[in-house]
Amino acid sequence: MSDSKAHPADTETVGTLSQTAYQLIRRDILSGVLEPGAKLKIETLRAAYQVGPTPIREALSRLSAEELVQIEQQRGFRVAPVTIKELQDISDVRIMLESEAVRRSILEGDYAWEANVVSAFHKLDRMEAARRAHGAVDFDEWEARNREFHDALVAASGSKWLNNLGRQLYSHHERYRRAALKQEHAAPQRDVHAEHRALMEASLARNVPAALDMVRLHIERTVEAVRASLAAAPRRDARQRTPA
Amino acid sequence: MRNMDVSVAGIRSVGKSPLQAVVRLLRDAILRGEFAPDTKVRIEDLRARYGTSLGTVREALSCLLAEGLVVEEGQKGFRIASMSVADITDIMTTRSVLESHALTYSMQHTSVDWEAGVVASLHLLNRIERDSAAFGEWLAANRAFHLALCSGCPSPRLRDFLVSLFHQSQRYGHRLLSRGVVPRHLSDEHDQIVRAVLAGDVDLAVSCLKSHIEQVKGELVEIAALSPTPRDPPE
Repeated sequence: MSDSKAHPADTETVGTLSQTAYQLIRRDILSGVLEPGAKLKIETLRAAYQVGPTPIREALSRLSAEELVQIEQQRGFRVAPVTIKELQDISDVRIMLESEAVRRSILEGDYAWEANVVSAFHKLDRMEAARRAHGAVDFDEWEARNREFHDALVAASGSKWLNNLGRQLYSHHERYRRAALKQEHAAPQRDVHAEHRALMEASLARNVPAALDMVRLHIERTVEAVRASLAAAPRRDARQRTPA
Repeated sequence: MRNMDVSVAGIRSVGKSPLQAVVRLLRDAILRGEFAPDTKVRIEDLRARYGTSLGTVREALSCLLAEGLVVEEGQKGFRIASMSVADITDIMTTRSVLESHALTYSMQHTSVDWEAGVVASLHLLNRIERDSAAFGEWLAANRAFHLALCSGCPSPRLRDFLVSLFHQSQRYGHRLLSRGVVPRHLSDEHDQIVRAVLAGDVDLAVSCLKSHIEQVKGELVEIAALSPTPRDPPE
């Protein structure tokens, strides 16, 4: 990992030191600042996040239960690697959870649910316009808008468990989405925005089969893009394992 | 037997460490209802009970936080997760979605090994149901049976989620026992599922599984509704 890129704890962050350490380390794993496979040394993390060893260990334990960190022999820690196999697993289970949550939301959602979907799509739409104008997009902001849109779609599912498990997988997908986005910018044959639009329109039209087809297509296309991205840079994975 | 060796949700990567041992013991104690829902976790008591360090206890609680069995409380503390009618309803409904998916996949990719695992776990469950008064043993066999049905689906994530949901529903199952409620005779429903599985009838097997989970949900909702949620005595 690189100390200059890791973010020290924000003094305004509310919550315990363990919560803070958990949130910051998790964010940096998902965004790739802490690279897949990288060794996580307590001392280095202490310096980077400016919290003591106890909160760091608790944060790493919690992240290990989430499969984002691996515990090794002698109690060392490592960022979980990214693999095509895991991407496929996350994607398959995400399709199942999100399909069920979208289906229920379409059946149960009221006008307020519709309004939130429209509102979240509008923000994505504005970002897309900016991307077309400037040729680039702030990934962090795009990621936040994308999450809001997907959250809005399933908000009326009525199931906390379904949505929480889905949200967890959505987060874990982020490590792969970054790779996919690079590929899409290099060879933009995919129109993610059109997929979001189709998903919104089918949902508002209460067309369950069309919406579920779109959920599947949308997630599967990300798998394809990541595959293409890894194939285009076969040594990337190996380089990432080198300590920075 | 293979299907009895249930992997622990979410901590596949932990290995055989003291931490894993404490996570397991603490989880089992919570599932058995030894700590009432919503009560504050006394970390020093746990340290003494498991003969380990405060650090290990806190790390174990951090793992259980990720599994939704404890929640954070105040500045440095933990509280046992709540139990409610809404919660168990949601847990069982979500189990139904995930288990139906996994059973469908398993049947579409069926193998003799998978079928044999299902048959063996059903046999064991029925024996225990008939001969054993130990409810804990029955719960473990029941869980093994359900996981065997799902085990043809090779997804580690799905399996982790299923085990987590099972842990959640087991808290309510133990409450049935503590209230002296004898578990309903479920072997007919289990038998029906397995008959449909062996006949290769996916639709029938899934519909039997769903109605079985629906039945159990009704019983667990009843016990949840009966039990007022205890709160901490004023300190």
